Amino acid sequence: MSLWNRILQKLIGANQPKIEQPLAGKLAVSPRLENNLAYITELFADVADFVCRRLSVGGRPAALLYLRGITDARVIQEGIAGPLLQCQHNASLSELLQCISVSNFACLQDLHQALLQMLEGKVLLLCQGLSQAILVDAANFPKRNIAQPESDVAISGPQEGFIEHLADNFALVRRRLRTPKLKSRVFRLGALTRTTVMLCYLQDRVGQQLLAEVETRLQQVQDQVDLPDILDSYAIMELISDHPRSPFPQLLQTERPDVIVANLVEGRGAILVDGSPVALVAPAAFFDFFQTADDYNLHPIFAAFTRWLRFLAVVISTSVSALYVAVVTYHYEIIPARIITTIARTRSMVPLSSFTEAILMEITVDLLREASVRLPGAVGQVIGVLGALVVGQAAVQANIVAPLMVIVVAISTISSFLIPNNEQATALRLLRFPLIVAANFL
Amino acid sequence: MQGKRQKVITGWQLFCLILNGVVGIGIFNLARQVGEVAGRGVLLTIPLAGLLALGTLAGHYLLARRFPRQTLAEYAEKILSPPLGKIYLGLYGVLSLALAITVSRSYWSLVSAWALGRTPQLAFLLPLILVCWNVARRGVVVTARVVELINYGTLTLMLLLMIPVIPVDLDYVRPVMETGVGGILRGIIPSLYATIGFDVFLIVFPYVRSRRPFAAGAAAIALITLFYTVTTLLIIGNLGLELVLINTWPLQTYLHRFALAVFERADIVFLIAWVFQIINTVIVLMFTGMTVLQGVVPQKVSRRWLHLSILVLAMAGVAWPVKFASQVKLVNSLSPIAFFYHAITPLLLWLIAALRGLKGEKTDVQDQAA
Amino acid sequence: MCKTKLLSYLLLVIVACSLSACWDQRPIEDLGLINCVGIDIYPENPELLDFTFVYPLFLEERRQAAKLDIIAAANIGEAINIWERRNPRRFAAGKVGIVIFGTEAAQQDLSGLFDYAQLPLFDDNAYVAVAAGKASDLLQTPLPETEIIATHLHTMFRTNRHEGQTILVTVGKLMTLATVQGIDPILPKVHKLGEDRIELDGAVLFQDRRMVGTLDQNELLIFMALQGQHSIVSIAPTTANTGELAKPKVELDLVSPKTKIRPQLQDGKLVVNFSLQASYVLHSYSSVQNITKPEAAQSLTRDLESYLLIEAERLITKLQELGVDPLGVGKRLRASNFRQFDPLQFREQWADAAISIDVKLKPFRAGAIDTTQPDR
Repeated sequence: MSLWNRILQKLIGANQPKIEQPLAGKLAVSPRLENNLAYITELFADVADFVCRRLSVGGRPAALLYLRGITDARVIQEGIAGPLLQCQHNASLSELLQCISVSNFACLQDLHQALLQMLEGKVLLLCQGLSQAILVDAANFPKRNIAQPESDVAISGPQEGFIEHLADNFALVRRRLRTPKLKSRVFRLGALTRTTVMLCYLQDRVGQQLLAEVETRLQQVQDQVDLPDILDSYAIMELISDHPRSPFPQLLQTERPDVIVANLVEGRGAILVDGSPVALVAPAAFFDFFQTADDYNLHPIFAAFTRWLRFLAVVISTSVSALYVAVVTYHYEIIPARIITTIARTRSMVPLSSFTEAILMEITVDLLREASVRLPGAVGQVIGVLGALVVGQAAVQANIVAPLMVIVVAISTISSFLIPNNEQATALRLLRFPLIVAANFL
Repeated sequence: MQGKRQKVITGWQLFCLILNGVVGIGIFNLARQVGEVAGRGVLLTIPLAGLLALGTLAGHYLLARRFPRQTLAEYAEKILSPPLGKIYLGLYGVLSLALAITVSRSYWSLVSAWALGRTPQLAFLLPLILVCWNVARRGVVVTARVVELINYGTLTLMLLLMIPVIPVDLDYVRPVMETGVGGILRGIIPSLYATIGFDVFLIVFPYVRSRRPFAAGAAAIALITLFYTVTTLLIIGNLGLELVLINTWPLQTYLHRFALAVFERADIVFLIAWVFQIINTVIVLMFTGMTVLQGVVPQKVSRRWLHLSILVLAMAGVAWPVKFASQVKLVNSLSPIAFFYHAITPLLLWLIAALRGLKGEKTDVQDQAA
Repeated sequence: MCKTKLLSYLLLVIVACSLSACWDQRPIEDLGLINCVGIDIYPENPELLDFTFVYPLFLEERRQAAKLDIIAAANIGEAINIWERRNPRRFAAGKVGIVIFGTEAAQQDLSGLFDYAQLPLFDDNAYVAVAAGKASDLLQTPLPETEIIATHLHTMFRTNRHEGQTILVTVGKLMTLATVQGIDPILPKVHKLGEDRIELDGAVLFQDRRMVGTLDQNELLIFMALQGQHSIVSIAPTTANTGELAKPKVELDLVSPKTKIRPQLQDGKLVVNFSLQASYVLHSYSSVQNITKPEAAQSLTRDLESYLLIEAERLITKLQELGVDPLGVGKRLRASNFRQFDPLQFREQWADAAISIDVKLKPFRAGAIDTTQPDR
């Protein structure tokens, strides 16, 4: 184990509490209703949204168990409870099932498994004398409507984006890929959250080696008993990527179903995560992060031009401040004679060295950016104006920074906005600081 | 081990390796070195030298084709019998490392004369060597990939250098036959020294996936010859031969006359950009040296220790204080030895192998890959 | 594994530490941005040279001023050392845009510059000229307060060149001209007019690296036409050579004049043929003849041709008498006939050379033609 890992473990590893698995192992459904209910009510004590509704089905006592809020009350009333009350006396299991007017149901003998499914929005029906639990689908999670993706904006082409609901997200993919070759495998990650994660691929297109590798890695995550939660796809990305410590993203993230479909057709695998509007694509190379959905909807010449522009933006955003520092500190020769006097004059009035100036300005710009991202729209704009005034004008007038430095930082910041992928842009933005240090000292 | 050797190098990467092994520091003073001997005949001398280099590469190809699944380090011993082969390879590897050190030191003397007058030599050369060593020790895949990536920049610089942006007076270049045939022929020798480095072909040949490895090598040599010829024409046509002959680094003086709109001093910009190319050249030379030396040391010696000792040697090489004049002398005496060793001895090996009827195992991997 | 990693980290740290001292750090604000250098003979000791360094001073409110230091030294390297010792700033290499030689210094030798010009101390694209009198006097000329001398001179050189009024010689080109066999340097001449005006007028001829003579502005223009490297040469044949051109005022631009210079050695004697071809654009013209008529236009062209011919002959004779070859006849002779070219004998051959000149002009465009006929 490397030194770094050991330090990391010392710092964070020791304080992690052990996670108990409440519904681990198998427990057979008892034919005595009261036994089952006693076990369940103890398990779900102090659970506010847990509902246990006793009723008589065909003359024998029964109970409907479900979680309020994630189930549809109307379906329960009209599709399950109503018909069950009218069930004939001493009905058998198959007759009971015939009574229920909801199409999606299942019978389980394992109570733990049944309870786990109940936690996902199903209604659990337990009957006296039946050693099976009946699960009826009445799930109705709160969700938002399908809307335009926020971070993956495209000017032309489809405007649908993923939402937090996995089934809907997969439906968006399915709508574009009407083929039986679209396969998927489901994983449950996180001991407490049990987040549903779906690995989709196109059979015959995807490389078998790749598929096996992704499956193994997801399986390893699923088997991690000490991993409490998976709340978003970014967590999965960190867990299954090759170099988790690298600041650069190694899986492509997107909120667009059309991008996912394009990648599936190209033979890659897609990972959809319940509760996250961001899907992942594996594998992804450095240059994949510079593609946008618009590239496919534009004329090839414009698309190529904008893509090259983005590469240029990467170079500018990472190196222009460092270049300024290096040129002003070491290689003044390359500044044209007509500009050098102007630069020297403005620099001579600034008390800070060009290195300090550059670091200061970059940090200020990052502060402004971070502030405006977290604030609501109207206030964000105020921050923008304030930043422009403070950084742009006041700092120059007060001779704290040279005007050229402001231009340089502005150019580098604007360039960083050209990188379509946020993760990539952040990683590249961070690169600026070591480069500025290198420019000044090496 | 030989059976497992994978074909990991594409034809393009082979092209890059050869190109970058050759183009390095030579371009800065080629016009002067050849001009001293061949006068204005340089314009004939350099293409002729290019043709000769191409012939030598063909010899290398013949040798490599006899042993398609082995590198030079493996079959040289077989051809020359173990003790002699070991001595041969040891010298070969040390010479490659010496060339790597010489290239970096020469570049430093240029940089210190031109831009960084007060920085100590070590501050520039140690990190350079460390970076190159770190790439070269990671083996053929990483080396080829790094060289390929840097090569895109190199090719751009080479193409830019070949554009005649500053006026050229052809009267300065004429008459090309000034020194007669004798002068032109004598000039071939110093121009050949500028093409040292393509022997990496012998080292990476068994890894090459391309169907036509010789074509890749030949294309690299042709491009180098074109590049040398055009830049020499431009330099002499602009500076005049007399001024070239009294300039230590004629290319820099030539670039000094060119003002870019944004970056005024093209010479300084070029000097900074060319550092990457020097890194590339040193990587290729170090890689050659390391691979050959791996064949010499016994199997039980750990590779890590070999690599570390090579690093220490290289660092000692760049740290060793030598005056500029003696360094020039050193380079002048090293070039013929290196040329004989790297370019000519493989031809002799091929001859011996052919006479002794030695051949490597036939490979079907190559055909499969094709 | 861990050991190797630790070792490599250690190496990296050592390397990083060895770098952090930044030996060559030269922050731009600490530099003396010397943009003009004047070179004169030191009056009290002709062995030494007086170097005039001009650099801008930064004043508040965007106002600029120039500061001037005069330093006596054997060569420019020594002068820079002395200047750096006296001054808290460092000499900014490569930013010198103008180099002016005083007449005396030019007559002595140009080597004061060449010793260091090989190092990238000067900008190779810096303009070089010779001042009539002392360079330091010229550089101290008071100018309107918005301008500084370097910018003023720079703009003046460029504008004059664009208008076809002068040659432009850079440090790099001067080095080539002074080193290559078979061509002699020529530099433009700057005058101080009155108290506060500077003007370009004529040129200075060099034999090897020593000034041996001058050309007046008219001769310089003819020289430029013969040199054939300028896109426009603006001539105003005011001196009357032909009857027709005697009275009227004529101003024209020669557009891309090209001269073929063919030197040959016939029985050891040099024979040089100059054939000048150019189109011309007429700027202003006043005459008794109406040149919109083809015959009159042809007659004007013939007159201009004969004017150029006579002036060119006069110029070349002057060059032969001075023994200088700024047109590069020797260079061409070597290129075409290198076995017979002997750099040692060439000056004598050139002085005695038989010259033949052809001039062929073609009207390209007539601008504003003044057809008033004042005599009638």
